[in-house]
Amino acid sequence: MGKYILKRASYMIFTMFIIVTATFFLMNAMPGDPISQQARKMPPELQKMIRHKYGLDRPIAERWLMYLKQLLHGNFGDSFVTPGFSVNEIIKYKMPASAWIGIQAVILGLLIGIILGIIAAFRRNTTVDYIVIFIAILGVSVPGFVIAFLLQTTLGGKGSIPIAGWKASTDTFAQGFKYTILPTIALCFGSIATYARYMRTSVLDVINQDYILTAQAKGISKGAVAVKHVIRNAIIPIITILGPQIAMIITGTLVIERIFAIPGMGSSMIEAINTNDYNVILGLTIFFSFLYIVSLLLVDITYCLVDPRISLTKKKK
Amino acid sequence: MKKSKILAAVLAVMMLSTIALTGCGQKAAENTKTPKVLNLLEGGVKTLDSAKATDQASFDIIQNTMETLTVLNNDENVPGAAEKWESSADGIEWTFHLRKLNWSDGKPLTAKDFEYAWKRILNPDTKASYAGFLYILKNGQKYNTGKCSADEVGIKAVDDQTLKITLEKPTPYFFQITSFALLAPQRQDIVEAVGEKYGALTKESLSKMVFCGPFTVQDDSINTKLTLVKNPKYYNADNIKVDKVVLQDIKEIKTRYQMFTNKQLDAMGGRGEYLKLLKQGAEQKKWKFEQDVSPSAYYMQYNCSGKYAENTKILQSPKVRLALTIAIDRDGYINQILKRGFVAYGLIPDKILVNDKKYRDNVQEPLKAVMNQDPKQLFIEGLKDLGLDPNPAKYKLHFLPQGDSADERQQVEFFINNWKQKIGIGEIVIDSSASFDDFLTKIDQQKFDITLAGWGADYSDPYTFVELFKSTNGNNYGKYNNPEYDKLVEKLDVEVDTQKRMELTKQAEELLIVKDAAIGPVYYADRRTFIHNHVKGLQYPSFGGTYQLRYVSIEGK
Repeated sequence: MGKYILKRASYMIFTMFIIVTATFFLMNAMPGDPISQQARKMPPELQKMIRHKYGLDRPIAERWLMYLKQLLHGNFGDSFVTPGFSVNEIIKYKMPASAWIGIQAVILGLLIGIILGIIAAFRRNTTVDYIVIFIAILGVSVPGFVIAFLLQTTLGGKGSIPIAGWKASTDTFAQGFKYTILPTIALCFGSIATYARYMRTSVLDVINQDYILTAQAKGISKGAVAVKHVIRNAIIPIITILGPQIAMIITGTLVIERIFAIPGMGSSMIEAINTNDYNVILGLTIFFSFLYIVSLLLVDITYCLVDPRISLTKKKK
Repeated sequence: MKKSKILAAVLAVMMLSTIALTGCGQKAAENTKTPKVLNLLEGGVKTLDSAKATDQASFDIIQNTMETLTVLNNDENVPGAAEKWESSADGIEWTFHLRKLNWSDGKPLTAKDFEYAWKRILNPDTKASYAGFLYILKNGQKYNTGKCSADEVGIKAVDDQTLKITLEKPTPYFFQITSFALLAPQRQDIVEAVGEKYGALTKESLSKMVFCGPFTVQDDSINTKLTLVKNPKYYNADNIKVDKVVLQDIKEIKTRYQMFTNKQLDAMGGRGEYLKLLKQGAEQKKWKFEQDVSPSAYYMQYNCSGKYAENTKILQSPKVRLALTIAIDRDGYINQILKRGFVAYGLIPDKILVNDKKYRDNVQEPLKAVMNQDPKQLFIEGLKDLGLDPNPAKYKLHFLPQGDSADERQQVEFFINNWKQKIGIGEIVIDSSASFDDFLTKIDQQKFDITLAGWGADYSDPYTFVELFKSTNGNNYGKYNNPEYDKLVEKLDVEVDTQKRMELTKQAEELLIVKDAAIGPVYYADRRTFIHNHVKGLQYPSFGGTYQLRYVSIEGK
């Protein structure tokens, strides 16, 4: 196992190197640079001076090497556009909001989704099943932003649920919670449907296996069969989609962040791209891809834990 | 059966707990007394460091938390940190007498704080994008480009209350920019103690900031949600009538509208489908509607360089350019397509002043006099002048839009229809630009025939527009080059007399738009805002920040 993880980690470093290099050169191939949008208001000699001060006038290969060197020291560099902020700080300040909503959405979505899926499977071809399938189709086909606006108009402003916005930085978790209610529901709605559908199919598949019949024949109670044999076997497909989903949701979904005015990672990335904030684009790309790759690794490890039959390393016969 | 009941119960508990927790928040809010709070929109604020700010949102917060030499009241410069001032007859030397003011930590504000702040903008190590603004100071440019020391720059604190400023040459708009947030005072000890992080919107930096304006920024602010609190140390605190202003960055107009109608926002702009709804609400007196000119002009920029595509050379004829300018149906464009803004027949918008007089009140828009000419005839004459085939149908031009949204395409199609119908040009191809940066790169390299460009005034003087088309100006994308025009711009640069400035601007505008037709004015931008009835005296300054919060009050909410 240790050896396997080590091998995966070395692949990971290689992948990250490719990502950094590709992003660096693609980004520089785009028209403009971090100061080009303000340049219209600058005298030419001032533009030259500022580009020189930031090292933007150096050859691209040299800047690339400089960036790699800086990365090895764990430093993502400073933002060009937001003075006084390093990329590390942008992640530190923006990540919590995205992660908070994301984690809540994943937990809520997973719980409701799996439960609905199981109910539907066990009550196959009954009204309950049809209702779950209906919700699933609704969840998959209605885009998140429609749900978000629907929630804003129906629930926003009622009681003390805010329509949009975020807590002040000194507010406690409890004070900030009200801001997360609507975005969490909007964000998890789609995933509830996905989880429910996967779970239903998977449970149906397992129920028809011979070992379930065996278990029932042994006289094990219905509940024990469901928990010990059915669910444990049926949950594997959920884990497969869960890893990337978590990475995606935690790093922020732009649309939900925009609608609810959440100061998260998604909006930072878009802003960085729009303003050519090179260091921020690179830093966030590295951070996102790192999360994604790690989550894939975690998924593989979880497979082993859930299902001992799956082995990550080929055993010699 | 039992199992599913348990599940149902779990779900019900989860939902209930959500509602219960929401209840907690409500009680906490009711405990405090009701201070007068204003809720407004603001883009993401980048920094509170006046030397490094470049965006409107940052300048807005600085303008309302710091006291510049003068401040704006209905776009007019009134005494701010300076109580009175005088200038030498040639307009080069200015002396400002400061009133007794304190910073929010109790220390007195002195002329040194202005000297330090202004010199810091020019210090090359600050890397200030707006340093060019202070090239008007004596040796400002030299210091910024490392050719002289800070001591030689034309700003000096004579004593704690007296600030002496020496300009490079007479600059008629200098007095107006003394209200610009960029030129706010700064405390050397604080800036140096906080270092690179000065002005950053983090709790650590904010807790160390000091302010000298009507409001201070609360420590718990983040760049998308700022809370301004009334500054009790402000000299005029008695006349500041709101206790708190919460400024939030809400990007989605649907969300804005929801919040506005629920009174969680006190003012918003309107566009698209929401404009109609908001206007209906205003008609029913639910809120107020304000519309005003904003000092930005949009115009057709013609490529005068003769080099780009197959027929760019025809644009070298002023008659061809004027024909294109005249053929545009401005009323149709404003009323049916853009549905906002004001029709423009000149370059200088309504708000712009020459010293204390409105330019547009005294000078008619130059294009109005020639609008009765037949564009087709003019176009053909222009082609003949160039010795080319006089059939307009044989020519093909390229139009470069700023982006590629559906709205933008519709707007461009409208112009193209005008030109095809009224002139009979053979073909007009719509080029594409991938992003605003791509657009800027392309116009900078003259990779266009015609494009719709715009410019927002930096200060209230026609010079901010007129200088754009000087042959050496970096923003002269069409490469218009007329020594006569350059001479007019150079004269305007130093002329102080109001009447003479008017006359010179008039000549320049006429030469640029009618005689040479280097650009074709289309429209002036506008500002449209919907404000709740309980908000009184909320001002939107034409220059600098978004709001002027010194005169706002809340009545009968």
